[in-house]
Amino acid sequence: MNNHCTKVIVDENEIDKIFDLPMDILDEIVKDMSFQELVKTCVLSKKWVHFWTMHPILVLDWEFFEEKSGTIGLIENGFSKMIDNILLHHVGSLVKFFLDLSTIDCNDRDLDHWLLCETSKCVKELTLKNHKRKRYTLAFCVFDCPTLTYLDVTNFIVKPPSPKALFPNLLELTLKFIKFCPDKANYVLNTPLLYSLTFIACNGVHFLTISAPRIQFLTVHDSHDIYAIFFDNLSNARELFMVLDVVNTLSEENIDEVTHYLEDPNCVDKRFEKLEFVELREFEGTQFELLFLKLILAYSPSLSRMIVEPSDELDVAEVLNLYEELRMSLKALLRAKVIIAPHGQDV
Amino acid sequence: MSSSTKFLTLKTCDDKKFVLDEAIAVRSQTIKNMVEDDCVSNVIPLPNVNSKTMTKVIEYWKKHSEEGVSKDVLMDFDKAFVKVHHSILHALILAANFLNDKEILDMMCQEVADRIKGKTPEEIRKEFDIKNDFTPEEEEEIRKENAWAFE
Repeated sequence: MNNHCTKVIVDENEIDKIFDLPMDILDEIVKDMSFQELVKTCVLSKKWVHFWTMHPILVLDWEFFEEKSGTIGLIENGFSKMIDNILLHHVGSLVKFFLDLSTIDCNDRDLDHWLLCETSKCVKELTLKNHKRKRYTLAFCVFDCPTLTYLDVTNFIVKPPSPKALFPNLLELTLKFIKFCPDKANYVLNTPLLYSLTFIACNGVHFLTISAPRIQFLTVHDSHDIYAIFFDNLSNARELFMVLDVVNTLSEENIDEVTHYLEDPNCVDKRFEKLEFVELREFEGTQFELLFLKLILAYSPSLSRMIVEPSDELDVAEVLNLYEELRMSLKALLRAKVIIAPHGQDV
Repeated sequence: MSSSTKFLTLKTCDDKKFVLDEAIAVRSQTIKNMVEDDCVSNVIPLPNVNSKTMTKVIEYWKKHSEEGVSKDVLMDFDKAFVKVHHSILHALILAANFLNDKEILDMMCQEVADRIKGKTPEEIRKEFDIKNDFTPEEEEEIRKENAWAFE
């Protein structure tokens, strides 16, 4: 078959063919490559010099900094300068930016500067990790970044910038070890498109009202001082996943509030109309938990499935008591299937 | 095969024709869209794919459409399938991209990534016949500029 097509292929054998692939395919090929390996492609040939600077994914993770810390005699702030350098070289838009600050030394000003740089590059997915003692304050520019659809932040202080903050296009929000310090209470966080919200070990959540009309998945774990009112603006949730130490703290302080909430005729407005699935973990069977459980059952007309996982601190007799108690309180509820799962068992 | 089996004729850029069971050909989303939009005449032209590459693609499609073929057999088949010269990988990626067959495309991109992973720039150049068009001074300069990546 000596014809045009095959001839072209033979001719091209000599040159750097791999680089001739469309840009989106090259990005796909290197998408799981470590940042270190990606940058090394710059010496392959002239065509590759600027390739890494245009790749839309920038992952500066723990492994990257760990590997670097062993190699160069990084003077103080060496990592800050390195990150400055990387961001300075990077051109074009950025889809994903991942930065783990756990092992590096930088100040709030550096970080603000980097985030300003990234949010101006139309970043869509932003992950900020920080497992060291020092807490950073989340830069204001993150809040109104119009392109942001995914935000995952660990161990930051969140001081929202204005009385009403807006994440205009945010779809998924995960907040871990966050301290909320708004200037005033009843701070409203507007997330018109948000469908998935996760709180893990957050503080000061009671300052916050989240308005999320499209919410579907709500996870709350170990975040104290969540009040019943927190759920008011999340009434469209379809799935709720909770670890119940929340409720116990909530209720010890606010038992009256919860009871009022239950008895308030206006509660009808605040029903979880769309809630179909609930999972409650570390259930200890305290009266507050049972009250909370009843509240959910009473105001979730669409609920079809609920999983209750007893706390692993309960002994066998206590678990059996709990089963009995739950059976009695759930007797009248035939529409929803309630599964009581032993600890650690997947249902 | 039942009498309802429909066949499509695919014509590659080097004018070679392939007659193929429609059920197999629609592994290509591009062909599937054409079939669904009812814009398939007698022959489907594939202006971006040559016959050598199409033969490989069809070999893959047929194997993965075999009835009762075990996962292990397919895994061995895939392993052997990607063990080709980089120019064929290149052609297969472009063909899979044009035919919109994400399965082949992903597998080939992964293979290219695997061949880059853990290698020095010199080894990558050798693997993909990349010509080092830097002068030694230029290369030194680039390495210096990105020194943190090479230490």
